[in-house]
Amino acid sequence: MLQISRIDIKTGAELKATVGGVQQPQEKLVENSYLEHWLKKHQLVDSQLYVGRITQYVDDVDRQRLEEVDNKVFIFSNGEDAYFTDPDTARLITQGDPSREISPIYADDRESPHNFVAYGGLPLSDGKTYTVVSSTPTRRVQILIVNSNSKEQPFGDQPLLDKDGRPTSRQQRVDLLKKIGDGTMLLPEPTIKDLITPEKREEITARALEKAGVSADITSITQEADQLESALDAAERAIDDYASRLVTQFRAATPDLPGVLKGTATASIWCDRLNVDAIVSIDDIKGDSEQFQPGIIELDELWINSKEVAEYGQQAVGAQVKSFVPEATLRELTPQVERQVAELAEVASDHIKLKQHYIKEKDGRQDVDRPDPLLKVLEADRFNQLTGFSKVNKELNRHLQGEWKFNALQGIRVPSAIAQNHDGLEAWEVCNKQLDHGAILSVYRSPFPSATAAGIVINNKNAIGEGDPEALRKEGVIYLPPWLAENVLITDYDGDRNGCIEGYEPTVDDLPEQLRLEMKKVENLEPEEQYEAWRSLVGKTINAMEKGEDSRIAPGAYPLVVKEFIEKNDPKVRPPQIAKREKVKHSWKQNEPRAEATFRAARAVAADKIGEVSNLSMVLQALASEMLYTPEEKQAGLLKQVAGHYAGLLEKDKAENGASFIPTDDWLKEQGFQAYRFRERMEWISKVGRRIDKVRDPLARRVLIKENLQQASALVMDFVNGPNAAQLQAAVDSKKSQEGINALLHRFGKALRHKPDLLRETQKLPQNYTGNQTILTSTEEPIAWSTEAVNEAYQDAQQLPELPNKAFKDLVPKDCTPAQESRALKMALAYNQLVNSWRVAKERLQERRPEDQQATLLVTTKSNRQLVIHSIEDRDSVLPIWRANEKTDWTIKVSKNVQAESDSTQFPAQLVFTDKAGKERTEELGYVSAASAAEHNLDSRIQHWHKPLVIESPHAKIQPPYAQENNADELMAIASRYAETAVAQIPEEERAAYLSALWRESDTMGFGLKHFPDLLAERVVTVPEIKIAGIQYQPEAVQAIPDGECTVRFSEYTYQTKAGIKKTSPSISIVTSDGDEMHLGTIDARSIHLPIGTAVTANITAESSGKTAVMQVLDVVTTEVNEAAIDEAVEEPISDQESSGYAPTRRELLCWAETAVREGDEKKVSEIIEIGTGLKLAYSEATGDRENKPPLDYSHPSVVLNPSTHEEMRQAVSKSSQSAKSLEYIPTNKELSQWMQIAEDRRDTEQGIKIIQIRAKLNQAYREETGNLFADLPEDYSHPDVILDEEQHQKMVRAFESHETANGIETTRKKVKQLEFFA
Amino acid sequence: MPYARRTTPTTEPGEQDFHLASLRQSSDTPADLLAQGESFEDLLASGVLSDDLDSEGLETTEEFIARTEREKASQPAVEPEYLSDEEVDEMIAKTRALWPIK
Repeated sequence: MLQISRIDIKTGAELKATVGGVQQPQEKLVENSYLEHWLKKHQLVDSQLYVGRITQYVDDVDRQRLEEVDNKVFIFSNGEDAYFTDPDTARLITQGDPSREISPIYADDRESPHNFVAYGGLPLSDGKTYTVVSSTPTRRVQILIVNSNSKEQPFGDQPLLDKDGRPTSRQQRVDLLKKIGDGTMLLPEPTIKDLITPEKREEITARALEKAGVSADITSITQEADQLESALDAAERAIDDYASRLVTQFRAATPDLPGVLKGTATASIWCDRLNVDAIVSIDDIKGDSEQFQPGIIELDELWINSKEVAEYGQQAVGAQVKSFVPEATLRELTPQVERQVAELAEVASDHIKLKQHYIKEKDGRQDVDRPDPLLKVLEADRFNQLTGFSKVNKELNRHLQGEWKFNALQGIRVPSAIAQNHDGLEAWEVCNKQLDHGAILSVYRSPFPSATAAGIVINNKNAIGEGDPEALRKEGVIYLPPWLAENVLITDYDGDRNGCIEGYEPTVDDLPEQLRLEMKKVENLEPEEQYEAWRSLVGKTINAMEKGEDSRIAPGAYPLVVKEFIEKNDPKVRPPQIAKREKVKHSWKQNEPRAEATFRAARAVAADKIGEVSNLSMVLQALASEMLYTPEEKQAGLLKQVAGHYAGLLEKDKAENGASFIPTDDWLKEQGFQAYRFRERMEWISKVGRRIDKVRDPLARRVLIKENLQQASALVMDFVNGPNAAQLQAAVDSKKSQEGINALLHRFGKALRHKPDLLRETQKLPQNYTGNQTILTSTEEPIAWSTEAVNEAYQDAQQLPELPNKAFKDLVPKDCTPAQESRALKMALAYNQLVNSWRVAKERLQERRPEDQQATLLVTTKSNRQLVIHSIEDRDSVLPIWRANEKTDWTIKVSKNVQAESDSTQFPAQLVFTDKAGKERTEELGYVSAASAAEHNLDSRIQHWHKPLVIESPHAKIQPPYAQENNADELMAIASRYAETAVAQIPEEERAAYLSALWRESDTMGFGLKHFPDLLAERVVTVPEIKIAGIQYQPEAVQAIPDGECTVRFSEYTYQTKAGIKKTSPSISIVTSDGDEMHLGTIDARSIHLPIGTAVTANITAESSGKTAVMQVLDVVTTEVNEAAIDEAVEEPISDQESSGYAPTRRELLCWAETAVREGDEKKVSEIIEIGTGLKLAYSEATGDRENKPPLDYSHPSVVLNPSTHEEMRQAVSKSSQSAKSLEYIPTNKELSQWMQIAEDRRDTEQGIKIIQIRAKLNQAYREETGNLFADLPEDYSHPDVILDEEQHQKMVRAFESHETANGIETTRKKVKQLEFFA
Repeated sequence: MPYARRTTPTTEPGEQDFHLASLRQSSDTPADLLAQGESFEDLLASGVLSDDLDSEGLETTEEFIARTEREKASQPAVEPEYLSDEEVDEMIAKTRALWPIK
């Protein structure tokens, strides 16, 4: 495994992460890559590699500085990642060394910079496993290179011989060529077998042994040797069989020659027939020195890795595709989504149903590297004991959130498979053996530029099966004919997947054969003409079916989608075919250093444009679609908005002094587009918009509105289907071409938006589908309506009920030593702390603050005051700051800009320094951070002195950007690795004790659930003993308890406390032989209880006190518990008590609780918590708002106090309001200091400033009080005039809480939190 | 249920967090990831694909209508000068001739 250190390119800092208080290097780990093999091969394993992010702030001077100052030379890039190493290794990687027989990774020629950027990802492309095919003393490795693009000499200029040295026949060569396309590699079966992972081998072996009735433990002495041998033979045969069917994505290379291969590999008998070690398409080879030529070449070795094994899967269909089929979305896809979300809403609040849904969704879809612990526990929980357990609920809710999001944005999944070439198919056929022979499909690949990229095809399994049975054995693949792949699907064979939307299913066995016959009459036409004839034939067949005149097909899963794609590809309406632009390789200028040229190319392609172009396409389609779908009453307003927007654009364009951003027809034609007359069309629509109110006749007015909206929609769609579709292709190719997308066209496309598309703007917010937050929409069209349908169902869905964690403690009784408990808690709390660091970083990074992306300079003055300079610009690369970490001879001058737009740019700083030529220079440096400015009171200081603040000879330390120091992925990986390692170190015999220790505390139960699922699964198979209280009140029921087994039902019992508060408790009812149910008693709060309505058989023993009993559950009664039974099981509430007492507001409860907390009356606090919880529940039930607290003035008639309690509260509230400002808080100096520290740790500048201001007031108050201007404030000092308002107080409490969670500190504040007032 | 209370999804890393991180760490280009069937929405959420949807200054249709109505209400009411039938017919004809609607 390669361990690549993460660095910041700008500052050169090697990035660190803090684990358990210790700083560790941040590393990128890469397994089974070619670079690792190459380094080993050349004894360079000690070479250190570095990776840094190419951000918009990085330039070539940074690369030079890394090279000159830090000895780190840039070698290649992969997207935003730039890789560096020491100069010697860099030279060998890029240029090789003939004297040491070292070939460079890519050819050492003028294309070297291009190759190290266009294919920079290949040398470090990781794999699941790898193998090396090596020469033997008698035979070198033989590779057959095939150029399937050459009709004359695809196998080179030498005759292709078989393994016996005989020339192959023409038919044999044709058959072989049928298999070869861009990305193909055929290997002998043993080589493919070497690429199977050990885990997969074990899995296959275990299955084979199980089938043979042999224990997987082959060392077991009880097994017959013969039986074992035969079972192991069977296992080996099963592995052989698997290898023969396997297709895998690979990278390959040989240290003998420059160049790296990429594609998909599979076993083929052709390697044996021709006695070669691999058959490779010449298109697989990237960055070679043209030594790979068609024909057989001999090598010392060939290294191959296996990345992803082809499997049939499912692909989500999102707006990218749905936008092009709005009618089908409206009439076919959305109804399906509505059905799905109705089911989701139904299961959302029911643990048992949700559990079943979860198990069904997860079954068979588990990540083998990361098994789902919850699934294991839920599957074992036959009594549903975990109902209402917060730790389980959180995971289930997360799953639900994902489901809501999926339905809101995608909603359907279709079969998908990895593309493979096969010339045995016609231009309109594919072969996916998972689907029906004769199924009519739309096949596509992502990114999806326009409707022209949807292939209309038929699945023909026989065409492959009869001509090439070897191909039909392969799993997880779809075979494509070369013309279709290249011209319609824009798919190659290096791992591309195709989604298959099944439109129609055959009702006859030989539909492909019948339709081949019908297509016979056009067989002499060009492929595109044949394809159009096919499209037309399928369209007619569907029409005939709809009229009942053709019964050979019937509607399949998505007939309307396929039909709409067929219609959209009618030549009369079909958008232009996407013309691939010629790729222009990244240049290497004369006399330009290699690393500079490579870095220039790397910077040019670092920012990927696919997302921007594709999003623009989807936004414009939504807007165009709305112009056609919006209800009539909204059309006039929409037209005026569009027209007004176009008028504004034309005006703006006119003002740009000839630099028009509206493409002219001449320019469009030059670029190969149609003359769309964009300007003329916009002018007309804007004119109609201005005049529409002057049309008196309502009918004429309606016609004009409707038809001009159609015109505007057509204009927008012309841009989407023409220029923007070409832009998308340019963005896809951008890594391999120095010509990226056209900025002018992109600007025009963005300018065409006449309104925001809130769906696309809010779709990725992490809080979507939590609380009341949903994805927003702002358009009236099918895609947004589909999301709105999901939102509606979500708003109707209820939440899962939840019980206190203590109710689940009996599941794992205490059984551990103090030492075990201490170690277990330490482990879990350390993990919690790591998770908290990850969460804080993740949330902060989601804000995308510009200052987080840039380095900062920490300046320390002679008097040890520190301030931070941010937003450092070094346009001319003259600042001497980028490696600063020492005392300097600089002068920093800070002034005040009274016109600054924000606090963070109020204090610009200048740097005075001596440059390399010995000349004193003064340059703009950046800005003093708002927190530093506030801390040092810069505002009044600078004002007071009427001149800039001058800092002489400061100590300066450059700091890498927050975003890089706090790499959330790295922090997450560290937390996971920590937990895995820590849990793995627990001795097997002590695991149960550790779980027991973890189960004692709420904060650590989640860790137990996640990391000990096997033990928990064992626990939930039985139900712990349940304690029943209050049985003395139910003598009839007590008498009905039999000596042995009886049937009981879990129910609820509502009663009123002495304080007059209604309370509902889980309870037990005895089911008598005649079916009646008698309430027996309530379940102790610390005991498990099963879901209300569950009937079980149990043994009940009344205890000697006569007040309590214990119950041992034996089994679930299998009779179905229907809704009615559950309703019956819940006792009627005491209705006559409603509104008979005083209904307190949340504000009153809060004041009351604060008084109780202040007086240390824990019992009272508990009572108030109980009432507050009831009020919160009543609020959420009444309003559906499950996320927010009730308003302060909220009260509910069901939450009432009896007169004496009311009076008690009234007095407490009165006392509270006299003694303190009820919702405000008087902080101590210590609290403010700690809060400041937390804000600083989080670099929360805004909060920091506020705290500094409050501390300044406290200082002032102290000075005034004591008359001492210099004394330090005592820690516990506070002043009644220095108060936090409710909002600030809540912020402080939250900051402490998250900090405490991270540090595992339990304080009384946690108890207060239970009030839900501060949460 | 009397004991229902707010539950938000857990803050620990979950399957989706690991998936999005793996997309960010992948050696494949965004174009490769899309071609390999990764969902566009996941790639956006992971930050592998960026969006550029700043719509500052744009109004929703409802906001546009409300604003224009406010502006209209603040102006003195003037009877519009209606177009003649011929002018309206000409407008319809020109609209239809503007660009072929497919």
